[in-house]
Amino acid sequence: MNDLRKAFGKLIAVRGLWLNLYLVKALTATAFILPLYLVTDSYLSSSLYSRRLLGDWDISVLIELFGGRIDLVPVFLLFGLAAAIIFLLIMQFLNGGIYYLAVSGKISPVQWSDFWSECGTNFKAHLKITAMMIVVYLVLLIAGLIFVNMVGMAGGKLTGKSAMYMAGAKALILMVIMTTASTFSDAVRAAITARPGVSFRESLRTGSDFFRPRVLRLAGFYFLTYLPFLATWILVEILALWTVGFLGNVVGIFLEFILFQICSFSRTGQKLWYLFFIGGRFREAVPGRFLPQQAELGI
Amino acid sequence: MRRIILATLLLWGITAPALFPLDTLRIDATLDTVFHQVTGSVAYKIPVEPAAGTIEFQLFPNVYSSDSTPYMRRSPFALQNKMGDSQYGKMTIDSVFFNGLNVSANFKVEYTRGTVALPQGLKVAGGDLKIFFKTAIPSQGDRLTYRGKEYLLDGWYPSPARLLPDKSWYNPYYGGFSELVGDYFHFDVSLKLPTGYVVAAAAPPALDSLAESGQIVKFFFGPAHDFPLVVSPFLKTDSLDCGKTRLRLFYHSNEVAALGEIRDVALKTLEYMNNKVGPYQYEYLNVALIDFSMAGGIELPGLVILHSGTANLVFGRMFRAVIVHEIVHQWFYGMIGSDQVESPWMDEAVSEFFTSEVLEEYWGGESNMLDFAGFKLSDRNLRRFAAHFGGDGIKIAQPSYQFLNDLDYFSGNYSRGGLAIETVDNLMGDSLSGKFWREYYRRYLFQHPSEKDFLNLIGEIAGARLTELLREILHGDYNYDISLTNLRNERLDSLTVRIELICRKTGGLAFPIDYWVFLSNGDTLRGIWDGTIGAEAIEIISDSFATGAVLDPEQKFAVDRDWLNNSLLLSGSSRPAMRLASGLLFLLESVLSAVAGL
Ligand SMILES: [Zn+2]
Repeated sequence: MNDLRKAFGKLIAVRGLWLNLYLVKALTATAFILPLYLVTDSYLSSSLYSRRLLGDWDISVLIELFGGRIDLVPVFLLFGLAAAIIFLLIMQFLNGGIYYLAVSGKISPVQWSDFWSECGTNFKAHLKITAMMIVVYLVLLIAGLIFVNMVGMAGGKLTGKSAMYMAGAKALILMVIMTTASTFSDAVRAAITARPGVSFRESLRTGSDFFRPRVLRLAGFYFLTYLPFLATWILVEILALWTVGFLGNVVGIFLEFILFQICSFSRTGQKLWYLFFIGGRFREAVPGRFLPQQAELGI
Repeated sequence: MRRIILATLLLWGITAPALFPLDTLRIDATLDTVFHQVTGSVAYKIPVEPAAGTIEFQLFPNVYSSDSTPYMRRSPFALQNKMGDSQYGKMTIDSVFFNGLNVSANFKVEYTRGTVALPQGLKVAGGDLKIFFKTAIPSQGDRLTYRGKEYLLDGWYPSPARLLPDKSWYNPYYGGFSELVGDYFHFDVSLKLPTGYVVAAAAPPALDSLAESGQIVKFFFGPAHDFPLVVSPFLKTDSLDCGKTRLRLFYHSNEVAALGEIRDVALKTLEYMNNKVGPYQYEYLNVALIDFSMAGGIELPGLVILHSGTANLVFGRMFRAVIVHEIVHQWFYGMIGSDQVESPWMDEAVSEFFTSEVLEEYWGGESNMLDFAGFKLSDRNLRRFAAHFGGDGIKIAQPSYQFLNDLDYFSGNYSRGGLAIETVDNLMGDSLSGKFWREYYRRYLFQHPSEKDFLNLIGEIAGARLTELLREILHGDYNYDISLTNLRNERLDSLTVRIELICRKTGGLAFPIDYWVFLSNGDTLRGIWDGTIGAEAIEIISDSFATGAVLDPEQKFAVDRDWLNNSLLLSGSSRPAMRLASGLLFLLESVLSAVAGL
């Protein structure tokens, strides 16, 4: 818990980085949502029917909008995919700097020149990990679904509330599996950051040597950082509904937008917080190039 | 027991409007739970002299006789050959007797059609016919099937072909998506089966006795055009009053949670349909929950089959809609027997329409399908979505066997059909709508109205123009779009303004369409666009400017493919698109966070 508190202190210390990372995400998404906005606005702005969207997320407006233009749906899905790819590439560039800060712990004060010079180093390795993790996620998702369905064999016959709980439990199991995998990738990224020169294979080994004995604790701490975000998210959803319900005008929509963005911002913070935590733990176990000063002197 | 027979006889007396006097169909059968087959006999009196010197039956189980029958090729349930212990379905006729004379030699089978040619000069009307049959129950059918010790038996006995008014036989072609068709009979059924099995049927057993190595259950039921059964050793039963009707529930112990919902929905649906259309004619409504047929629900006379897999809360509202839909079928299919093979829209589209009506009456019209975290959807609007998925070239009113896949069938027949009926009902208005459905019920109870009968009655009640509209929608290409493409103000002098709106429509719809014009002084001008030509400018002289206008403001034309372009507001607002973009932005950001961690 103490480590979590320390990591949170680091997160606050680099709030500028937090804000900027969020902005990268928000701007990338905006660039792809903007054309969608322009297209839909041309159909919605002068229509009386579209006003239903102001009070609720009335799916019927989307049905009218896309029902007769189903060909637009794959176009917009491709937009989303393009956004994801571009964002992934940007992040692999930034990961060098982010993991440098997280693993070295050199935060107060941050040497931004160091950060930028670290960005882009290990770009290929980060990209490799991303590619590898996409495969791992897919495999885990399929295996997880099979596992969850085996667990839920009895659940298939459940009805009413118990079926809902079973569905929730299944989702939770899948989430635990995926989160654990993502923690593993964090460990490998930390490994290539701590020891940049070594081979990819060696980094994988270092990462998994760190990961394996701590798997439960790492996942547990991930969920601890996730809880405040989850609370924010639920709060935002409730407030947003309330806001739009009472103020179905420009103010309501603007407030809802701000709430959504607060939630999105807190998600970036959650992961950064966790990275500072796991980075610190990793340095204790595998100091690599971040060997403490006195130890260096000892040699 | 007596009460049931009495009730049946009473019903018989009140409701014997059939073309030919209703006869009793006597079935005497044995269910073999080891080899999964039924053997027995069917006996009835031929009511009139058939036009040809033949008698015809329907041997429905033959639709399951291989994977390549016309029925199985189109069936989404065609999974027979994937089962290790698979058994194909088949009906074998062992012998046929007419007035005690063995005429088996003259018996011919072609797919599901059985024909006996009778010796020349024999008087057929009033003669007794008895058929001995054996039915192999398929392991993976949709309405005739078994799994383990549980059976769903529909079409399990040789059913007489229908006699048409011209005394010819109507023996339908069971292609893809075809449901069973039959004449109305009083059923007198006796079934022998091993002890320990529960039998769910349209009525409770009138007699249940132990015989050597088994039990015999006897049922009286009618008038009905089918007598299906669910047989299982695992079924539990419950029975409770649902208004004037006794609701009998058949379920497994893990399905108890769904019973409260079923009772509630049944009570409301019965109440609505009794008032709007006409009284439910049977003493019992039976609901059996099974999970081994792949359909979400199957309507059968007096008996509704529900798949309990959709009963959980996640799909709870969908389950509710299925229950309503299948109970509504007790009227449109059960008591009013249209032709499920040639005109499937007459039961499916009408049931879909009434499903929306019932849901809206008791659960509101806004969000009766989805209401979660601000997301809302009604089943009407879900139907508008589904209507888009049917392929080109299909017609709502085409025969079941002409649909090429389930997307075409469900989208064309259920969704577009439901919207067609909704359109016509909206255009009739409340008072004529009530009059129409009650008269349709009164005239065709326990009969088989045709598409023509339906259309004629629309004309009688609401005028020929509405008949023409429905005929056009039923047989048209379903590309209707009503739109308002222009709204202009022109000041003529200091007191008067000329307002011009341009109305357009594609695909026909030769019917008057309402429009509203919103004025700057806060008034609303209401008018009617005659709609005889496809595109027309409407000019209005007013003392105020128009701020907006809308065609079909109450969305009566449910078949209109796009409701967004029906209106024009001169001071457009980007708020709807902004809110949508804001929500989608948040969604995309969440996805980005998920894929990249940050
Ligand atoms: Zn149906």
